[in-house]
Amino acid sequence: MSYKRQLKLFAKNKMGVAGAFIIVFFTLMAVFAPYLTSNPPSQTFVTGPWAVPSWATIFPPYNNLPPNIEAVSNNLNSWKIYTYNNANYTLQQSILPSSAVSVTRYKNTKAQVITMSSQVPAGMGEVSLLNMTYDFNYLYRPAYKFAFGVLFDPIIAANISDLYIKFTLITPSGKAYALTRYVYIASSPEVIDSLDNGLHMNSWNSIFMASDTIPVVMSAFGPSGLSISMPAMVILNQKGNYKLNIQVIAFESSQPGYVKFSLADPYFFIYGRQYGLLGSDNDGRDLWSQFVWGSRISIEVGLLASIFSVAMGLIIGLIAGMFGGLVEELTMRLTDIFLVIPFLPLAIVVLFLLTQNAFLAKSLYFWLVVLFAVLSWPSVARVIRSQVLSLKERGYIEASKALGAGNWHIIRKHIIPNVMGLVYANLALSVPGFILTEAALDFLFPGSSTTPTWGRMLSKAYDHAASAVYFQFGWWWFIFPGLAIVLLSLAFVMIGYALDEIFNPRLRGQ
Amino acid sequence: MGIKAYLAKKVVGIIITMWVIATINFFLFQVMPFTLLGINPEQWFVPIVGTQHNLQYIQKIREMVIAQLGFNKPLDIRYFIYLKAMFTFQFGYNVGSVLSGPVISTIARYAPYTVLLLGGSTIVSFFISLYLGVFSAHKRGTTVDQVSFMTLLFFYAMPSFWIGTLLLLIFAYYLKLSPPNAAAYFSSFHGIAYYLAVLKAMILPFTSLTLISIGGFYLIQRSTAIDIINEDFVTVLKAKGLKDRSILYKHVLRNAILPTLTIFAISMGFVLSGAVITETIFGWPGLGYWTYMAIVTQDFPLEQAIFFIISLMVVLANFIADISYGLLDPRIRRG
Repeated sequence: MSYKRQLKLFAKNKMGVAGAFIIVFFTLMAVFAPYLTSNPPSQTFVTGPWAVPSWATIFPPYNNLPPNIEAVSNNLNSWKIYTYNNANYTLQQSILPSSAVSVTRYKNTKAQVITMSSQVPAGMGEVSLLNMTYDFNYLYRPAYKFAFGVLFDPIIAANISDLYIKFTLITPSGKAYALTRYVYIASSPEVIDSLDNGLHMNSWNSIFMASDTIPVVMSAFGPSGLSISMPAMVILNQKGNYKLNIQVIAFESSQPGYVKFSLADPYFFIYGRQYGLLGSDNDGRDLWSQFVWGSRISIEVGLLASIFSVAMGLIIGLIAGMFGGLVEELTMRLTDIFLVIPFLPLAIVVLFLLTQNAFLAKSLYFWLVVLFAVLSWPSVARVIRSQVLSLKERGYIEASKALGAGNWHIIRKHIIPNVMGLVYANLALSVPGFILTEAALDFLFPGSSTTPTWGRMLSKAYDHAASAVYFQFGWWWFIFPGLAIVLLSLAFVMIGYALDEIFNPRLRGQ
Repeated sequence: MGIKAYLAKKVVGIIITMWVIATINFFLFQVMPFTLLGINPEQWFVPIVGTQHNLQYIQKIREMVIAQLGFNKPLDIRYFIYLKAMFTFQFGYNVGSVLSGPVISTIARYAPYTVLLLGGSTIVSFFISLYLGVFSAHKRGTTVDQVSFMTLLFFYAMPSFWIGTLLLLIFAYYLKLSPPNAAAYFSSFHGIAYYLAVLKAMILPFTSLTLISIGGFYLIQRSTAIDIINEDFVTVLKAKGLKDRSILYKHVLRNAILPTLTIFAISMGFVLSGAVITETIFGWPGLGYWTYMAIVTQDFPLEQAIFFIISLMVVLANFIADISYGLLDPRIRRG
C-alpha cells in the first residue's frame, strides 16, 4: 500500500482526523508557548487570587467582576494637592537613581516628582505637610485584593520626632479607611525600622503594601468569612466615587523643625477577579500561562517515551522473530516480568531517587522518558515478534528465499513494510499511558521539579480544594488541566484506532 | 503438553519472575543510593519529622536501619540475606517517621482496606461493563451506543487524580456529604459505628475507582460481543425465535466473557497495588496510600515489602488467569 493511499484512507477516517486535529492543536500550543503567554507561569499576583477567566464574565454569576485596575494616575497634575501653610512645591520629571531602594517601577525611566520643604513650628502635634487626593470611580463588585504605595525620599528631617506617610481611602458613602499603620521615619538620620517599612534617610524608598496585610483595618472588621483575610472585599463593596488620600505628616517636636522631601509615583492597584483566558490560581498566577507551558512536558514525554520504546521494541522484536534463539527467549521472559511489575510504585521510587541527586534532577523528565521506554519496550517487541513469525510463513517470503534473497533483503523489503502498520498503531496507543503516568507523578510529587505541567497544576488545585469552595469552586483551575490530559490521551487513542483500521484490512469492512 | 508439565513450566516462570523483581527491588533500594547516585547514607536515613528535636532517636533509627539492611556487610552477602528475607516474608521493621513495628504487620493491618476498596470497585465495574458492553454491541451504531461508547472512552482516559479531585471538591468540600480525609474520619469511631464510618468514607474513592476501571472492561466486552453477535449461532437462535434479551444476556454474554474475564483476573492481581493516587487523594489508608507515604516518610523496608508483595499478587493473578482461561475455554485446553 503506497503512502499516498494510506494518507487518503486516514483522511477518510473521522476519528483519526479528529485525533490528529487535537494533537496538532496542542503541539502548536507547546511550540509557540512563549508567544501565546504574557506572564511567566510561576509569577505570582499578575492578577488577584482566584480570578475567573475573562470570558466567563458573560455569565450572570460573574457579571461585573473587576479586571486589573490601575486606579490612580501617577501624573501628579491630576491630583488635588494641598500643602501646609500653602508652602511652595515643585513638580518635575526626573530619572530616579537606580541605587534607590527597590524602586522597580521607574528604573531608568522618568517619573514625576513632587518636592517640597516646610518649616514645622514647635508644639503643634500632627502637622499635615502634604495632602494629596485622587478621585476615581469604581463600578465593579468588590475585589479580593488591592495594593498601594508611593516612592518617598525624606531629604532633610531636622528637629522633628517623626515623619509619617498615611494612606486613607474614602468610600462613596463617606467612610474613611486608614490603610496604613503609619509608615514612619525617625528624626535622626539613622534608619529606624518601623512596623511596616524601614525608611532610609536621603534616598528613595519604595513603600508598598497590599490590602491583605493592613493591620489596623483588619481588626475593624467583623468576624465573618472572607472579610478577615480579604479586607478589600469590605472596603471596596460600594460602587461609585472613591478618594485616595496620601498625607505626609510631621509629628510634634519641642523645637521648630524643618523638613524637605520628595515623593513620586503614587500607586493604587486593584487586583482583578477576572483575568485572561483561564483565570488565576490562589496566588494570582496566570493559569493560561501554566496551561500552555504545561502542554510541552506532556507532549514531549509522551512522544519521546513512545518513540524510544517502540524503536527498541521494533529492533529487538525483529531480531527475536527472525533469528529466534537467545534473544527470543530473553524477550519473552522480560515481557512476562515487565508485565507484572507495578508500574506506578516503581516510577515513584525511581522519581524519588532521581530527585535526591542534583545532577539527575536537572534532567528529570529525560530520565523519566528513559524509565518509561525501558519498562515498556518488551510488550512492543512481543507484538512485533509474533507478527514477524506469521509473516515468515507467507508464500512470498518463502519464494524470495528460494530465489536466494538474504536475511537483510527480506527484512528490508518484506518484513519491515508489513510491520510498519503495527509500529504506527503502537506508537500512538502507547502515548496516553506515558502522559497519564507522567501527570500522576507530578500530581503526587509536585516538588520534584519547578517545570509547569498539567499534573503539577492539578496538584496545587487539589491542595487548595478546601478553600476553592469559597471562590466559585475555582472550576477553571480544576477542569482545564484534566480535560487537556484526557483530550490529548484520547487523540492518540483515536489515531491508534484509525491506523489499526487502515493497516488491518479485516477491521476496515466493519 | 500434559497438564503437569504445563503447571511446572508456569511455576518455574513465576519463580524466575519473582527472583528478577526481587533483584530489581534490591538494587533499587540498596545499591543505587549509595554507589550510582552517591548519596550519603547518613542523609538517606534521617527521618523527616523530628530532625531537629531528637538526635538520639535518629541515631538509634540509623543504627537499626543499617543493621537491618545489612549495610555493614559486603554487597553479595547482603544480597543473599535479602533474598532469603524476601522469600520468607521477613520484611524487617518500619523505619519511617509515622509507622513503627514489623513491616509485615503493617501490611496485614492495611491490606484489608485496599482489598475492600479495590476488590469491591473492580467487581462492580466488571459486572456493570459486562452488561453494558453486550447492550452496546447489540445497539451498535445507534445514538445510545455512540453516547455510551464516547462516555466510557472518556472515563477510560480520565486521570484518576482528576476525577478524584473533582469528586472531593463537590461532594466532600461543597455538599459536605462525605469526609475529605477517610482515615482521619473513621479512626474516631469504634465498634459498629466504625464499620459504618468506613463504608461512608469509602463511597467517594469507590465511585472514583469504579468510573475509571469501567472503561477498560467495557471496551473489551463491547468489541468481543460485536464479534459474537455476528456469529452464525446467534442467527440460528434468532431464527429459533428466542427473545433478544435471552440471546444477549444468556448466550452472547457467556460467549463474550472470556477476554474481559482475563483482564478482570489480572486487575484483581493489581488490587493490592491499590490505586496509589486514589487512596492518597482520599486519605484511604490502604497499601496504595502507604506506597506513597513510605516514600514521603522514607520508610524503605515498607516500600520494598509492598513492592514485592504487589508483584507477587500480580504474578499469581496472571497464573490464575491462565489456568482459568484453559478451564473456561475448552478450545484452549485441547490446543
